[in-house]
Amino acid sequence: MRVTVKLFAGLRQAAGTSDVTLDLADGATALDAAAAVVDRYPTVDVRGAMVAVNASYAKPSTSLTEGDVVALLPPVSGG
Amino acid sequence: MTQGLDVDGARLERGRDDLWVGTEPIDVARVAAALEDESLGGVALFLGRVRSPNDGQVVSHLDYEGYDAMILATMASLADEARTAYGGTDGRLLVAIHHRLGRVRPGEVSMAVAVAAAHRAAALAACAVVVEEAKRRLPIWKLEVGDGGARYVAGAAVAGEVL
Repeated sequence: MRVTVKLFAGLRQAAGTSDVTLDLADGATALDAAAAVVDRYPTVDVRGAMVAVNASYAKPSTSLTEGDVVALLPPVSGG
Repeated sequence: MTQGLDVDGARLERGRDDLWVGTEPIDVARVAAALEDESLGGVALFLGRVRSPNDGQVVSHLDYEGYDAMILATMASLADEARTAYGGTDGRLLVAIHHRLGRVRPGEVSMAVAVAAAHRAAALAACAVVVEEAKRRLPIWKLEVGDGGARYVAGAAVAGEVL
């Protein structure tokens, strides 16, 4: 299945891109998507980042489906 | 970076909450004025401004970026939670949250939160909680640029959802 991963702040900077398209096996989780991003961009350090699936915070163990948008969110610093 | 966000920003008026994110300067007078309701006698307003110096370094500006598809929905959750916790049995409480993205300079307002409640205690308490939760949960990041170079400001993470 195909999913999109969005990267923000330092993660985007490390990857040099804000959107990554992945082909993952059926049953893959958000954690699998994060691991695939690190495989492709070894300088991206996702430790401590949060996960959102389709614009809602989600657990890394969340199962993905075709077309999902996963976001990897470094610790946030709004305000 | 404000990918996908038009220059007029995104606004969500739900019930009579007033939630906004955009790159234009925050209109402070408008933030609390949006919460007009004669049954709500207490209005608390918080303004967050860019500070310089910060950690001993002169700040030139902050560059804010956000995940705009998620910001308004998260703001809506914060407003609903405040209403449940502080709105009394009839849930009468209104919330305004305005957050600016893009370049913001020292002294300029980056975030404004207003809460209108029946009485002052609920308004003040709810405003404080919304400010803290907004800083903890809104998917927004700031790059601080100044004498010390450029660095992403250390942030907060929601427990249990961290890689």
